[in-house]
Amino acid sequence: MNQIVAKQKNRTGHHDRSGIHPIVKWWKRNSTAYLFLLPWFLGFFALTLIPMISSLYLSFTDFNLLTPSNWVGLDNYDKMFNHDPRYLKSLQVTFLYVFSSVPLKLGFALLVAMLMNKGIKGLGIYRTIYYIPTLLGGSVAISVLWRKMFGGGGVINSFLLDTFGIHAPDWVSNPKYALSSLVALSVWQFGSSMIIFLAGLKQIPQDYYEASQIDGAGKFRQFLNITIPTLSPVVLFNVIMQMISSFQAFTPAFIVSGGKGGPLDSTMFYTLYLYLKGFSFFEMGYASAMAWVLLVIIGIFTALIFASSKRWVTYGDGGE
Amino acid sequence: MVSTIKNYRILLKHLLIIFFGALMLYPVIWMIMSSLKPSQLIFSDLSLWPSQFTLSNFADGWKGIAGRGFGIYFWNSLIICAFVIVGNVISCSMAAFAFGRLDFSLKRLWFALMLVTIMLPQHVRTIPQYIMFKGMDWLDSFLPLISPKFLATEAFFIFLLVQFIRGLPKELDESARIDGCGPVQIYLRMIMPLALPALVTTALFSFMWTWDDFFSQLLYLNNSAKYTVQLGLRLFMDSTGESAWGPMFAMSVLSLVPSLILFFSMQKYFVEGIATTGIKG
Amino acid sequence: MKLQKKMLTVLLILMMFVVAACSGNGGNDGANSSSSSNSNKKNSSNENVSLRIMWWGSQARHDATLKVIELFEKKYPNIKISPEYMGNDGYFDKLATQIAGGNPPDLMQLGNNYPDYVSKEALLDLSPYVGQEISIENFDQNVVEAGAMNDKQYGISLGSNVLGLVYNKTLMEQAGLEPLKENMTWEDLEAYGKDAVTKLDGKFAFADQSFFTHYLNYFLRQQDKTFYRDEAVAFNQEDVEKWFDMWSNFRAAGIVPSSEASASMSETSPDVSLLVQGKVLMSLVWSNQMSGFQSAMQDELGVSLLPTAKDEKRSGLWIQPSQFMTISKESKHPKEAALFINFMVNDLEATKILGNDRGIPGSEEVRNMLSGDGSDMDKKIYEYFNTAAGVASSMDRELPNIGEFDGQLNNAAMSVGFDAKSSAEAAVDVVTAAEAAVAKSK
Repeated sequence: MNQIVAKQKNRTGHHDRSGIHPIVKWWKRNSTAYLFLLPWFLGFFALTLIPMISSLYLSFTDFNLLTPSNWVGLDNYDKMFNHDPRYLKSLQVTFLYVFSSVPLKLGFALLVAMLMNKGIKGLGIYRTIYYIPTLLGGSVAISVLWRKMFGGGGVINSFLLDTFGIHAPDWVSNPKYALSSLVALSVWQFGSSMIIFLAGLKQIPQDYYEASQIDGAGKFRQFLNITIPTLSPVVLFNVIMQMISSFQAFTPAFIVSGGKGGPLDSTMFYTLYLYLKGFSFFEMGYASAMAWVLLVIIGIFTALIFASSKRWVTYGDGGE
Repeated sequence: MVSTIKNYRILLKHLLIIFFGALMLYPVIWMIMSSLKPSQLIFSDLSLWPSQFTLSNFADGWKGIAGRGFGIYFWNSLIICAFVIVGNVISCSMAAFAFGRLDFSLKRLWFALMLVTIMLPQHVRTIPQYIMFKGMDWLDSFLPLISPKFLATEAFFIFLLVQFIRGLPKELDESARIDGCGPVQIYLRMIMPLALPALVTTALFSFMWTWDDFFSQLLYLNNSAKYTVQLGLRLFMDSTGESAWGPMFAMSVLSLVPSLILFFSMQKYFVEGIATTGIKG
Repeated sequence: MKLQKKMLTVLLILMMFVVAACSGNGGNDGANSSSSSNSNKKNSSNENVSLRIMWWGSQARHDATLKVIELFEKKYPNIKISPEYMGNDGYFDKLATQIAGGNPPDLMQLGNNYPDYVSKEALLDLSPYVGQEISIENFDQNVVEAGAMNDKQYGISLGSNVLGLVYNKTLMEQAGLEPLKENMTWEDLEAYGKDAVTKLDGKFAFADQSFFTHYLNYFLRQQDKTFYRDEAVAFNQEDVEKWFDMWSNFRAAGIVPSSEASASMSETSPDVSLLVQGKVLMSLVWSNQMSGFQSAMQDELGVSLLPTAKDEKRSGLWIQPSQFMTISKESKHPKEAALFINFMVNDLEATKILGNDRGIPGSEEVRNMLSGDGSDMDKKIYEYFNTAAGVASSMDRELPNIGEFDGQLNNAAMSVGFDAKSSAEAAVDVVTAAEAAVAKSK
């Protein structure tokens, strides 16, 4: 990395003496990177930061959307943890969802991506078929569909009954299982993670494999010694992004439960409750406080994953 | 003997893929079948295969509302998507190059802040953002939906591209530098072509997410001449009254077509990959 | 170096794009700017005025309302109306954002939740325009009153609804069941249900609607109680316990499906309805949704009055004016907006186009004109509406923050259904939730 900088200094050689102003020196060192980052800086300071700070401010108020707000200090935060059982329930539901859906979805996506990478005829069509659920995204049709798949007389249950003679519960209506049907929905829409894995697999130079084949390595050794290490930056990306988006999962619960998080709050995701509080129950101050607590939670998990990544992620640029 | 075992294994592999494929496809088949059912059968006839077929849902849906056809909604969605793709690919790849390949002060801080921006749920930012865009007099236009993308506000793609760029062997840059390339040339001539799979992914996801986005389009577009596909679909839906389910399903089916075409035509970039054919050490 | 320059040019163009977009108004129409000019002057009738109106609905309602706007603009060439219409999904989120952002439409369609907007001072008092721009001469008194609060008129009802017991007539006849008798009591209905399930071959007599807020209110009102009266909760734990116990009995007797089979089928629209799927014989539906249910199924539907109570103090039924047209407090042209409201509810041509889509109109004159119109189901609904209006007692004010209460009642009812709580415990939850909803409004 330093070479680039050094080279630049050499090119503009005569400025590069001691005694020039530190700001000039700083700019010389950083100008290229900061110019590349200029759009992002504009976006960050002009579009993202102000709404974020306003929401932080609002989290200390009783903002009800329509009338001017009053400062209430830490009341919202206090209420959240001490006087709102539904909030705690939503926290619990969300943690369960994140810890079950993220590993399942990513494991499945990686498996399919490896299968889809090469060696099967008709790959293009298979790949498209496997991507279709993801294309459906948050379509309005999903709610009807999910009941058809997982409901009492749904496709899954008929299959279980006809093939194994098992009388399965209604996966959507039973509070014990409703969340698992949403985990299934998330796994079913694994296409985006699969695409990212595929793109990552494609980036592994083929000669790595060729070289190891000459050394007599088997498929499994290749997977462990080449695929996993070279893919690890992409794995890290998928883990972090899936974690963040699962903590913020909203659409699946909103659509399948008709915006209610039922039955019995068993699919009351964090952001669904936040949305209800903010827009339906007119407690935007409280919702803002919830959002900032979630930010802290996600931030902690992200930091932990990043810290652990030093042990298992290797970059082509040799950095950590 | 060996070859029959191998054949069996291939067959098994195909069967497995097809079995799961059927699970994957079921929803779309169901949607298409529902769109072909007359309204009174969509929810009352539980069988997959319609007992009666009709194309009137497509005709009614395409006709749209009050003489404004669904074609306009498709056109609007496509325009927004095109701008979003260009914006995201340019601005996010620039930022990603800086984070992934350049060295500069406060890099870790800015990177962390970039990630923090996606940790705050969108709902609580809605109103301040709305007020900002109102101040710029951008309401009822595509600008609130498009212009942020030119300013690299999608941290997802920046992070994605950073990970891909960092996955590229560093010797490549060094050899380019020996050939006399500056950072801009390295960005344009080395990194961008090598990160093509990731850039295609960025373009594909930009399209899909913009195409599927409902809430921000609802918020910022008022005039129905500017409505998009997602808004058009919701025009059929009123759960407090009488929804036009048939046209809604028909148009939902149609709305999948552009994404499917895009995916199908872009997937060769995942299949062929650039790294295999392009540069070797 | 050359490339670095190119880079800079690209960046500059990018920035120019942003700056240009910031300063210009991006080519959007002048509806906002023109409405703010001349706002302080008195509006003479020839001055050009533009109004924004927002409503939710589906295809039929959009088509009809747009036609009415066109008609209105022909009649008042100086008034231009820009419509903003959408499905009900996200409607109130957009409205709240617009109000919070200082950009509310002049005319807004609201539901029975309009008091939430009154208490937050978003609505204009229409009293000065009533009797002037807005005529309510032909309106039923209760319909007018439903849009009034604290002696101020905040909304004009676009239509009224009433609850009805909708039954699958085809299925009833196939099973050889007798038609429902008039004035059935809860006990009669239970007996009918018990008989029905023996003939229905695995189907059920009723949908489980123990979580249906207005159904519970109907039950309470029969005892002359209600959710909310004189700014306080007007029912107690015992009342709700009786309600939950009744449904537990139904479940035990097998005349309603198990909670597991019905928890995700709320009967609130055809896509989540066991009635539409032909799995239950009867279900409670609001009158404005009945034709939606009918058009989603092949079997013929009929409508009947809700069960009476043996010891009933008054009829639990009430006519519910729903869907109000209101004017924003920020509107620069309330007078013209009021003219449009009047056009929507009184003009015979306009009301004919609008029909019953937003409920049965409040003006008797309009009702008389419309009663012969429409499909068979529309006629059935009209007939039922008139019968219901004959028995109905006066309505009560909606519980404030009913959306939040609704979710909690749902949870309470489900926890009884899934045996997670006793009906007494669940009833306590319901009362607590109602008290919290009222407290929050103060």
